Amino acid sequence: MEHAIAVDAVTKKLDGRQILRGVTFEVGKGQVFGFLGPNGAGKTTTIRIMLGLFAPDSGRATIMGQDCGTDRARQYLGFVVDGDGLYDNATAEDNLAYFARIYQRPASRERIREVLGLVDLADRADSPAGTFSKGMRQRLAIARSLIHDPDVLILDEPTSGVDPSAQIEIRQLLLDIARNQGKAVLLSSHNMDEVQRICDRIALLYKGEVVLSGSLDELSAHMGRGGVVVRTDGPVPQAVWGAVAARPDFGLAGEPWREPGAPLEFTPADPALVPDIVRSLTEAGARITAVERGGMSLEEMYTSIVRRDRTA
Amino acid sequence: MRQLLAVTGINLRNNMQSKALIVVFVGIGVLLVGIAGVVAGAFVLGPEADDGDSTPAELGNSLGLIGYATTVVIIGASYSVLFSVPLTRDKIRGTLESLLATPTSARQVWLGKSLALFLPGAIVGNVLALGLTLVLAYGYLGSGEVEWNGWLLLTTHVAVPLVYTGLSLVVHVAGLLGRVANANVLNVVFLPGFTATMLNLAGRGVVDAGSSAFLAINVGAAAVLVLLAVVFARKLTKERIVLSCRA
Repeated sequence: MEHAIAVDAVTKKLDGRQILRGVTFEVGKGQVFGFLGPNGAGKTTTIRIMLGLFAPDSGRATIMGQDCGTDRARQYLGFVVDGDGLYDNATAEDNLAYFARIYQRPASRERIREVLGLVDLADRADSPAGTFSKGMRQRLAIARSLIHDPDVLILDEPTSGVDPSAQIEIRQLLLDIARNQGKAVLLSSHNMDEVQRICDRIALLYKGEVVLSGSLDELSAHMGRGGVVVRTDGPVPQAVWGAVAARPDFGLAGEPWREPGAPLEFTPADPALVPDIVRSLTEAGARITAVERGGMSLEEMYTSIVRRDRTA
Repeated sequence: MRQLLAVTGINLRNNMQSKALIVVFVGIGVLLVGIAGVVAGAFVLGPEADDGDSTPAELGNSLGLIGYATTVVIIGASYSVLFSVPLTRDKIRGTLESLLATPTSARQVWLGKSLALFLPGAIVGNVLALGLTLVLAYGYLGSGEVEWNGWLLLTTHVAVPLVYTGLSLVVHVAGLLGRVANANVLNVVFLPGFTATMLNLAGRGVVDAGSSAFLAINVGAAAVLVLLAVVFARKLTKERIVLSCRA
């Protein structure tokens, strides 16, 4: 199957600093793909490579099978970059008409109104973009990215600085674009909750590498879903930890005595081992208050990776 | 070509985005024309007409030089007003990056922005200078007193716009590849430098302003600027332009 976006072993050095170290991921048609990472991880550089603004040092990035940076790839691509890129003194309609002209597509009034209708701005078509709120500007930027009917949308933090109700509208719009129009949407965001709500798959970029990639379910499994969280009354003595750490099949994660109050997390090789875990802890003197099914939110996965790296 | 026109159109509008800038630009133009008219009438044309020795050709040369100086200064002033603010805003607000991510080339963006800077000043400068010289010729001196010099008219209305086309290309290469403030220094230095040099050459009689030599000097200056721009434009890539937005 041809991927809408394919980034394969892309590296990039800027100002003598290695920004990307073999970034690889794919986005399928009709998918909303979350592109995550802390500041400085290389997200914007990767996006600029996909937009054809930067050339990769090695590796390959394609949009609908066309090498990024070629005019054919750009014709398939709609985007919203950081800063929205709208002309303030031009009306919403003119902003769209300009870009339609650049893409050499007919910019009929009907088409422009239709696209503005998608983002619920048809009634503001004649207003200058400079008079719009942040949320309206972001919606207009999304409309502009859709004016030439691209197959792929790349959005760099489209809900940043937008109020909660506008965030919901934008999320719904992106889902609609992916599900009903079959477009691939790559969403770069710092908002884990947002990504968890609307993305089918994600890639977590950290220090120029994709450290996690896959569907949310796959990632949860990889990061501990299916495991068990045991909460205890008070700090876990090192002796208790030692009792369960001696059993590798229990799959104890981390070194919990180092973090007083932190629960014990297990990913047992077999779910049938859960009673044995509880028994071992009790016999070692732990006062168990709760045994819960494990599962990590995206935010927990994200912070655990970043934290693990920082403590290493 | 359609993309170049679209880029030029967007940037023309973007350059005119601030009403304050337009008011400043037009105000400077009108003020300059007014001052040039008064100074020319009181200190150049008046005495020449009063002594009765000046021929219609000499009056035509003086008028032509006044028109030349006015055009040079007004277009130069438009560059000072309309170059740095719109380009800086373009870099900061992401409009430049958005434009580069479309199927336009870095050179189309460069040419489009250069034309968008050149056109308003060239139109206003030429119209105001022409208006001033016509008012002085037919309103102040009276019809039949002036014999227009074709070389000087060509220099003013063809060569000077070419010079400023070259300058626009140069400052935009510099501004797109590096800091806008540094590129603007070229503008600031060029206007008084070029004006003073040309008026001194003509005023001191080193070169006859109404000759083909004066035209050639101006066209030569334009050629040097265009050549410089073309040489540096080879460095223009989308990556370099985007990276310059951080500067």
